[in-house]
Amino acid sequence: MEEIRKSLNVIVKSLISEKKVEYVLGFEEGTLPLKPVPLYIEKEEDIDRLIWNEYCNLNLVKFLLEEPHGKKIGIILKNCEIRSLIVLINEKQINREDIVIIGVPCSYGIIDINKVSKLLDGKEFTEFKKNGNDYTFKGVGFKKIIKLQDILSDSCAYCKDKNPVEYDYLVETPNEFKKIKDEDFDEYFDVIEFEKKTPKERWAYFKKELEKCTLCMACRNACPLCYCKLCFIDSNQPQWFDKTDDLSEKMLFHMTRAIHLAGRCTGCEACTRACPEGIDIHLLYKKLRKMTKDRWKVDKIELGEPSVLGSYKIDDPQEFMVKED
Amino acid sequence: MVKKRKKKKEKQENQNNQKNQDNPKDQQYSIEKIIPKDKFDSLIKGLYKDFKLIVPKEAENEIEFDYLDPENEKYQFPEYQNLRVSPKKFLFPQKEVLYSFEKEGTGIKIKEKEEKIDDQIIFGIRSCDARSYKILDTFFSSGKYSDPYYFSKRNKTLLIGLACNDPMSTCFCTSVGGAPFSSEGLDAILYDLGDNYIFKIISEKGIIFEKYVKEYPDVNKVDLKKKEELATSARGKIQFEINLDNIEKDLDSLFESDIWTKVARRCLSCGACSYVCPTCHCFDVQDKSDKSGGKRVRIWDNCQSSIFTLEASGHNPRNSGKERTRQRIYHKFNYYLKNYKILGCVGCGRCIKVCPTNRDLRESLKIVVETAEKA
Repeated sequence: MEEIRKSLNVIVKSLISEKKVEYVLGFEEGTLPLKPVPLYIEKEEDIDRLIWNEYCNLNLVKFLLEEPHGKKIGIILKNCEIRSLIVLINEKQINREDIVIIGVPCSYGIIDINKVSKLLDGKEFTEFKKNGNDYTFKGVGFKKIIKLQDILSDSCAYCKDKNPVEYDYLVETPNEFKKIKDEDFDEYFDVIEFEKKTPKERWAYFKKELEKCTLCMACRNACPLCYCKLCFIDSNQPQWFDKTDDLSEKMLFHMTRAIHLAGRCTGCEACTRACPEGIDIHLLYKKLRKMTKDRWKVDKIELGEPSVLGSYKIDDPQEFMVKED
Repeated sequence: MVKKRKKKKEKQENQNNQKNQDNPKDQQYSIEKIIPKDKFDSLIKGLYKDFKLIVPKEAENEIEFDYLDPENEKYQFPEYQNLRVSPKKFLFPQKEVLYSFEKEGTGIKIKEKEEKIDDQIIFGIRSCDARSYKILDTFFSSGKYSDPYYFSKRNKTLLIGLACNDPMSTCFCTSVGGAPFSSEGLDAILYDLGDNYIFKIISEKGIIFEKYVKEYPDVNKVDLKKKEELATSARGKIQFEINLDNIEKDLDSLFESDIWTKVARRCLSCGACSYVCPTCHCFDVQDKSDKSGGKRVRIWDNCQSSIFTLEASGHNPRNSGKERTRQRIYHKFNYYLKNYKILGCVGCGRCIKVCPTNRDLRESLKIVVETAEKA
């Protein structure tokens, strides 16, 4: 990781000193362990605060949406986030030429702090130490060692799409990345396993998870692809959503959001990690990615390609059409 | 507003009252008993005969407040610092039906809410959360009417606290007038001495507990000394301290300041902070109805949402995260002082823990105080 940070320093420094961008968006340490915060690098001296590691858990593309067109901004991104930026470029929300993408190959993925919290039974940890794959967490009266694979975001654990597909600067891959396990698994392994359950079991799972939802909208607001000026959930006239926390309303919100993200979600899982209740909602979105792959042979979003649900092709699957004999 | 600015003397008094009170004034009841931990369960069973008990309980992956069933479970406090979710919802639930209505001929029949409320105790509540009920009490009884939905439950609820031996890294109760061992707002308090608890009655309402602890020995000097040591040690564990004596005045001068752009820059405008806050109380009222009838419900709302202040004309006075962030801080640290002469924050630190972008209220307060000092 230190190698990456050094390369980033050089790139960011040149962007800032040559005034190629107004600022570069990256991460710095926050006030709590495993909670980094967005860093706006506007001056060279800000660069010292820049960090890059496996717990930079927000999708920074979200913060580009507030900026006006024409403003030059640099941003440090992993591939799932680059693909979400591509969606925004494809959907004409952001101009490609406004953004300087610094692509970083992803090693293992991102730690889901909600998983850490669950494994520590909700206890507060004030310190953590990394030793290879072992993470030691310490708090009042406890010390626990957790393996990295147990706290990685689910999508990261099965991700095969780790190298930036669109960038202006590419950070060299350190040697340690090459040692990562042989990737002879199905990217949709967890969805396939989940699909084997009965509808009753699947319903029970989502019901149990979504019952925890308080409708705080952290998931929606952490997602760069949720950019509607007026979300259906906030509409008063007409009112689609009665705002109570009944399970039916929670389901309505999450299902509608999922459908709005079908063929667009890139699986960065910023939503799941932002959830204050630790709800595991990623399977819903991953299932939709698998469906677009199965039906349209498209699950990776490419620059300039129209979205599967936002476009029509003559050979789109249409098995629902009644054919004349 | 007539009483816009408090006189200096009044202000001093007010802050002295708020300042780190381990022993508030209303505490004159000298009932202090020693309860050995192995007798704790019988105390619980005794209380359960007359009260429903809301206690910290082991749940899936965390500890949360829930109703206890002592007939089927033996109870000891689980190990907890403070809980991720405060017990606010037991008196002010996220969704509460106010009344229901149904069609009757050409008119409409309104049915009052029927709610049977038992006497209950929130048991094991921390000092910060107990103080939060004082703030909610003030809000729900302010103005001409007091809120019947809140007080129907509040008046049936007693609070037995558990003093906080190990504050969390995000706790800052001592900066907002609290303390880990504060008994403010409580009816009785427990101090955990290791093998024993001290059970101390605090309020007049709390005298009702006398009969449940009568059989236990009185505290002795050694126990009290140990308690004092623990109180000092707990206070020492609070990692953040800020002087908020002038916060009302500080904020008066900073409404148009550009600090809010900086403070709000990373805010996602979600409601996570409001919903875990033990003192946030804003609500919305909605009708849930179909052809034959429906119900009117009160639900939590939050000021960080863009539609919170959206007007019918389409105008929104708090259109961006900057105004909304500023509002949340002003409400707790300025308007509350103006309206009720108390701070609207108890320093539990939950909003800091829950924020997806680590927007830290302590940092924001530091920026406010430092900017005001420089001005």
